[in-house]
Amino acid sequence: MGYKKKEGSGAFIFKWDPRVKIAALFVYLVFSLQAERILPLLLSLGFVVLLALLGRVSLWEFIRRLSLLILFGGFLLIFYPFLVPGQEIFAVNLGPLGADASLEGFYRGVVLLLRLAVSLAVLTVLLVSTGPVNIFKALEDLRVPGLFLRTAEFTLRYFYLCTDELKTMITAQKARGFEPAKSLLNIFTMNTLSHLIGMLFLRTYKRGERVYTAMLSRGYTGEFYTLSSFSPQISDYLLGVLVSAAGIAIFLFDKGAV
Amino acid sequence: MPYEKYAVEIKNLFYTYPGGVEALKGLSVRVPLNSKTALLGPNGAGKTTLIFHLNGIFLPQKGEVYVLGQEVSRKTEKELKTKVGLVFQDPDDQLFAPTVWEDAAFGPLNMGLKRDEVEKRVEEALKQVGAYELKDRPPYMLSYGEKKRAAIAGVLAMDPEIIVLDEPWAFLDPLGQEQIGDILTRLHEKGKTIILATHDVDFAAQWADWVIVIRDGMLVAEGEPSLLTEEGVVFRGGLRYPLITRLFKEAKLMEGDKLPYTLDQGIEIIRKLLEEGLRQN
Repeated sequence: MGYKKKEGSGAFIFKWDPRVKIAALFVYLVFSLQAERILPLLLSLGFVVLLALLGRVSLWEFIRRLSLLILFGGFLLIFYPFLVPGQEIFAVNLGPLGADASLEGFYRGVVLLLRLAVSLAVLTVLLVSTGPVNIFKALEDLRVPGLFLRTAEFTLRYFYLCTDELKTMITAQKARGFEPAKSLLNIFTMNTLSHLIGMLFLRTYKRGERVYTAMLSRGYTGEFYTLSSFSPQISDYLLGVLVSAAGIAIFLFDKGAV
Repeated sequence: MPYEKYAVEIKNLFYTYPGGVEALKGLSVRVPLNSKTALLGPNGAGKTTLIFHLNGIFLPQKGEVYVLGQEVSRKTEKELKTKVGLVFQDPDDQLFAPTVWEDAAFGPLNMGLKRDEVEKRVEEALKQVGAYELKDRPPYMLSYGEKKRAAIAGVLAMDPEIIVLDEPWAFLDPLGQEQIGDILTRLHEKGKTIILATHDVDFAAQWADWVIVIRDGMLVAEGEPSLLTEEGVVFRGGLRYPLITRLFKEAKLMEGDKLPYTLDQGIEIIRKLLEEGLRQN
């Protein structure tokens, strides 16, 4: 879970004011993801990796999170060549069914994969160096709607509680001798699991009511008040300008203006 | 209502839940100012419903509730939330913010206090319950005892005059119970009125200086904790005797209003009996 302090927490990227960091990385993403060629996108990814390394973001953390790409990116590379028409690289024939893989499709798949990689890399840098608590605070300061933030915060806060409740319920079922059948088509197994999910919903609903009552008891009237504790320095803004400028430069390079 | 005497006075209170369950049926109780009050009763007695009336979460459907001389109504409910702090049974129901510090600041911010005052109150509250070192931790990473202390801090930061706790011992280990007990004693010494809803007759007898027993939404008895030695109260309240009382009663060492209900009283009686025995021998 992203709440843990990561190594390198004394480095510049960890000290960077979260509001400026989010704004700058957002600008960087918006511009650099406009690129449609592989080289600018590779440069964009390289810049984020460099930023992470200079900022002493754990390399292992970086690799661990980017490894998610293998799953989604793999699908892009497998299917895109068959979806986009163009110069044929190879053909797949399965009896009466056949499909041609195109070079253009493969190229398109790689571009999308790189865009995904850049987004994930930026998100990793942000999450690891800032942590969800400060990200939410900064988004609040950046005037992101409170309802959206509260929903996200509550999801994060209560996800683990619901998971624990589910685990406890499963353990209690096992303690009374329940063993799910190998097939979900087994009526008893299906019934038991549906009851489990239904009960979890009810418990969650009840929990929600209790949380709301507890909030009311402390004077909640529908408005959220928070105290901002950030005070950006000139160096924070300079770094922000640098990162944003890098995004714009990649965009211009892709369009052939640089 | 005599403000000097009672922190809470409830007269003929009725409350029926939307599903039709009658939780309170003409309940009348009083809580003396600056008392340590234990609210006792079996499950479904109406303890939580009663508690929710004290800071305006529930408004009386019929009857009257006075808190510190002020009648609980739609007009006063907001003000009452700063005067009466509720600590819920399950701290996970109460701690919702990303960090302990932010959760403790939730109440004071709702009160519209200025930043300096909020920070001062949060720091003091967290220190009072020994949770200051947890201030940057997210609640889900805390132990149950730590969560409980953080939840109390969230209420203390609002500096209420009355603090109400619903089953504060639930799921706590003995050390955790002792820590919460110490916190409550310190708060009482500072002049707070403490109301504690519990099933724990032994703790109520030992700790409280005022006891309220309710059952089926009605008052069974209220008064000094010695009433927990009365058969009628114990029977009608669906309770049991405090263990020390039971020991003396079953061993036929004492009877009636001389029965002890605290450990100290029991020890004193045993000491006297031993001294008498030694003298006679």
